[in-house]
Amino acid sequence: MLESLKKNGKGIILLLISAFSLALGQLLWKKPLENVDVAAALAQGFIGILGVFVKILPGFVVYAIGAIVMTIGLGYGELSVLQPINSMSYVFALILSAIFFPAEKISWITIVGVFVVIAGVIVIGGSSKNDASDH
Amino acid sequence: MMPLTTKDIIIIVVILLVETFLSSLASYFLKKASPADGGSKIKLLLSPFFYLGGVMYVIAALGNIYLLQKLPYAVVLPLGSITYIWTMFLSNRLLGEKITKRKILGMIVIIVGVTLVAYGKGK
Repeated sequence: MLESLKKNGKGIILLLISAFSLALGQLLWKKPLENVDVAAALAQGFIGILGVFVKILPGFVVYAIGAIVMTIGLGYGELSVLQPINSMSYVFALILSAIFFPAEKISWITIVGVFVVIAGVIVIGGSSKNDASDH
Repeated sequence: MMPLTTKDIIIIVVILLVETFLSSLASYFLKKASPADGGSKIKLLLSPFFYLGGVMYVIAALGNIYLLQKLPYAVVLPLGSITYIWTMFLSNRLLGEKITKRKILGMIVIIVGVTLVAYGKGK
């Protein structure tokens, strides 16, 4: 397990950062669109499309940064080890929504699920045996 | 949400498989774009693989949005984990990475976790 962390460690950390960016980006683009009929806005043509675009821009920027961090991270280790770490974005999304929307109830099943996802990521993260430096 | 016809279900399954495959293939291209050890990080933005991967992710996201209109979030979210199965397959075929028991176990645990997260949110 330690061996894998040495080989994939940098990649694991970068993928965790990117999973966080994905969760934050999602929060930033979903919330502004909550009360917007996207299909109707897009049907309005250029102005409508621009309106939607401006609303999702901050989320999009965070997403793009996350994608760049993920791309760099994927170079440091096995794809089959690193890519599933994306699932940590569900965990970060939950933490963020608990921070920014404390009124929203979180079911205990979801909290159990979060810990199960973390366990799965730990199992996969420590699983590399062959050389991870190829890319 | 409208009741689903057989045709709807076929379309949903096809989109699900294509969408998850694309997002898995996208991560493969992003890996190819990665400058990794010591390479200039700017190079990444010049790599066609980076944009190819990006476009695939966007198409996959559109497929996901379509699925969310047809099925509840609590169903779509765990089904998205099919991506990890594709990735294990693709990384084995294209990159020669080993499919180990531990990776499969971790993947199953993640899928169970995501299902619980989604189920809890759907309540």
